[in-house]
Amino acid sequence: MRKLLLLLTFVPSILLGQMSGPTSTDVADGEGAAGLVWLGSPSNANLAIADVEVNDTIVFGIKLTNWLSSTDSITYAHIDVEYNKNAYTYLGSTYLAPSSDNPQNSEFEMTGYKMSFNSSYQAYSIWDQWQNSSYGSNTDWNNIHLQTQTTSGDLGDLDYYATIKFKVKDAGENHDYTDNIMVTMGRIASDKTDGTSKVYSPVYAYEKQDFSYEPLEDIDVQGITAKLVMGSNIDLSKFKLTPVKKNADGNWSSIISGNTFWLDVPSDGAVDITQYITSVNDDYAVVWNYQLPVDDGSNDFKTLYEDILTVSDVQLALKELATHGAGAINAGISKFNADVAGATDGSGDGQLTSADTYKLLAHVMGVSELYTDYDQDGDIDETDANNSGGYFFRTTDGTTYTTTTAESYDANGITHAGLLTEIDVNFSNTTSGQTFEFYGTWKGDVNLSHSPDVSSTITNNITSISSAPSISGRSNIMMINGVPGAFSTVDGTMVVEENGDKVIATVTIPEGDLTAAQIRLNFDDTRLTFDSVKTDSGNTTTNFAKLVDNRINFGSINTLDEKLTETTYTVTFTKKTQVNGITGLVIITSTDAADSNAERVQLNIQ
Amino acid sequence: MSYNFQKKYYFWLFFLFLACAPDEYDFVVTQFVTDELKIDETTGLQFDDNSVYDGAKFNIKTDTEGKYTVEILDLTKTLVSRNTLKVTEGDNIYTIYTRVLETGDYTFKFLDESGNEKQSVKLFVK
Repeated sequence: MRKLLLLLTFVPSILLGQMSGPTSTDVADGEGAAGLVWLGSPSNANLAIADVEVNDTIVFGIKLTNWLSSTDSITYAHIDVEYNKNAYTYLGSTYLAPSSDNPQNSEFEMTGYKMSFNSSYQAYSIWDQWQNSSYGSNTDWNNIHLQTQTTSGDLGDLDYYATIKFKVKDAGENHDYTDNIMVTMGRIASDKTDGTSKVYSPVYAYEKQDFSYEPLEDIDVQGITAKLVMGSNIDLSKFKLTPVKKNADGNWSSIISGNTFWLDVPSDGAVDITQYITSVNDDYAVVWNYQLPVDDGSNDFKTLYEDILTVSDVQLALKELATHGAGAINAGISKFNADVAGATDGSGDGQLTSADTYKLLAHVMGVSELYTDYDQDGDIDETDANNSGGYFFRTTDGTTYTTTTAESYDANGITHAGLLTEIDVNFSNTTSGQTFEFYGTWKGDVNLSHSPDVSSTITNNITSISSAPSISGRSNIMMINGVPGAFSTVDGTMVVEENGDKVIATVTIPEGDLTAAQIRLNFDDTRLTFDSVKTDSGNTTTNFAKLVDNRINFGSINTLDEKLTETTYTVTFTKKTQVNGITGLVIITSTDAADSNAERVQLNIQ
Repeated sequence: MSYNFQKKYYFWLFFLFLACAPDEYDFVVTQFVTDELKIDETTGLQFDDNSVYDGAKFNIKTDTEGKYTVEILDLTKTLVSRNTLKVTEGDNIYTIYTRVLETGDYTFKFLDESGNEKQSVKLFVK
C-alpha cells in the first residue's frame, strides 16, 4: 500500500504542450514584433494544448505588435513560419485586415526547406534573421510566407493579422516535437503618406516564437466513468480517486501531476476520467482512497472503522463458526470480510476459523487492533489507524458482490481487488459512455453494516442496518430510529451524576435476549480524567473496556451464546478542574448489540 | 469616671450584648443573575445566548428544592447525554460544556424528580 502511494507521487507521464519566446527584457529595444497565439481548434477556442490529439485541427494567430504606434502604423507585414511536415499538415490561412484598409494578401509555401539561423543574431530577432540567414534544403520541413499590405489602418491594432491552421499528425515514436512550428523571420514596415517607408528594426518574434508539443493519441471515447457503490451510510464524497496507468515495468503511476494527484469523488460516487484516457496502448486503473491518499493529519478513518467493526460483527462470525456454516452467514462477501487471519502476511487465508473470530473480538475489545503500521515507523498508533482506510477497503464487481454465496466463497474464494481497480476501456466504442462500477466493502464488516446490500436471496440471517446520514465525526449506529433494518430494539438507560470530585456515568442494559453489547462514550478530557469502568455482568461473559484519547469503548460479549443478565456499567471520572454542573461533559456516541441468533439489535439508550 | 470604672462598665455592657444576642442567624444567599439569565416568573429556564457554546450558562429557576435531570437529544431525537443537577428554590445557574458535542441542533430537556418534563428547548450548539 505504502509503496503504491509513493509510486503514485512520481512524475506523471503526460507531456505538456508549450510555447516559448523571448522575455520582455530581451525585446525592450524592439520597434515591432510578430508572435504566435494559441487559438485552440476551429470548433473549440478553449481547447487546451495538453488535450490536443492526433488528427485534431489546431489554430494559431499571428499577432503583430507596434511599439512605434505613436508615430507609425504597420501597413506591411511579411512573416515566415516553418513547420515540421511529419508532425503537421498545413491547412491554410485567414487574413484579418479589414476591407476598408484595402488589404493585399499574398502567400507562398516553400516545401522541403528549413531555416538555418544565423548564430550572430538571436533567433528571435527575425528582421536580423531575414537579412542575414537563409533556408536550407530539408525534406522534413516546409515554411509558409504570410504577407499583408494595406493602405490605411495599423495591422498592430488587430488581434491577429492572420490565422493559420494545421492538422496534427502522429510523427512516430522517436520524433522530436521541439519547435515543430516556429516563426523564423519577418519584415514589418510602415508606408507613409509622403511615399517613404519606415522599415521596423529590430523586429522580434514575441511573445511566442515556437510551439513544441507531443500530441495525444486520437482517442474518441467519451464518458469514461469510474463509479463506486458503498453502503448508504458511507459518505462517498470523503473518497478520493487517483487515475493511474501501468508503466513498462508493470508498476502503476499517477496520471495527474503535482501534489494533488487525485480527484474528488461526488456524493453519487461517479467520477468522469475521460480526459485521463490518452492512449489505446496503455492500461488504466483508478485508486479509491477513503479520505486523502496522503497523510496530512486530517484523515480519521479510525472514527469510521469504530462503527464498521463492532460487537455484532464478532457475534455473527462466532455464530457462523459455532453452527459450522449452518446458515448464520449466507453472503460470500460477509465471510470474505470475516476472514482477517491465517495468512502469513497478516491477511485472510480464505477460511473462517477461530483465528479470525479471535482477531475480530480482540479488535473490538481493544486488545489487539487490526490496524497496520501505515507509516512503517515500528509501531501502530493513531496515525496508522487514521490512514488505514486502504488496508481495509476492497472492491469487487457488482455481480460478484451481490450474488456470491457463502458456499461458493468456501469453495472458490472471491474475485476481488483492493483499492486499485482496473478500467478496461473499449476504444472502439466512440458513441456512448462507459461506466465502470465497483462495489466497495471493508475487511471486518461481517454484517455489511457499512457496505452495499447483497441480493435478497443470499442475505445473512442477520439484517444489515442502513444508517442515517452521519454527523461528521459521530457514530451512525445510534441514528437508526425509524430506519428499516434493525431486527429488534432494546432500550437501555444512562445517567451522569456528580459525586464530590467524581463524575459517574451509569449505563444499564436490561435482561433480555442480548448476548453482546457495546457502548462508546466521549468525555471532556480537559475537565475530566477517566478512572474506570465496572460492570456486574454474569460470570461467563467477557467484558471489555478501552480508553483511546477521550473515547471509552466498553461492553460485554458472551461467546457461549448465553444471554446477558441485566448489566450495569459504571464509568467513573475524576474532575480535573472545578466544574459548575456536569451537563455535556459525558456523551454517548454509539451502541451496538447482538441477540442469541447473532442478529444485530438496535440498542437504544434512553 | 475613672479608668477602672469605665473598663468594668464596658466589659459588662458587652457581656450583656453577647448574652442577649440570638444564637443563630439566617443568611439568605442568592446567586448573582445576569440580565441574560434573569427570569421574572417564579419558575423557568433561561440560556444566556440563542446558541450554546462551551462554557455557556443557563438558569433553572424553581420554586422547590430537589434534583433535576437534563437530557440532551440530537437532531434525530436520540439521547446523547443525561445528567442530574441539584436545584434549590430560586435561581440555579449552571454551565454547559460542549467540547464533545458535534456542532448542530440539540434539544435540551429538563425533568423534575418525578420525571415530568418541566422545560424543553432546541438550541444550536456551536
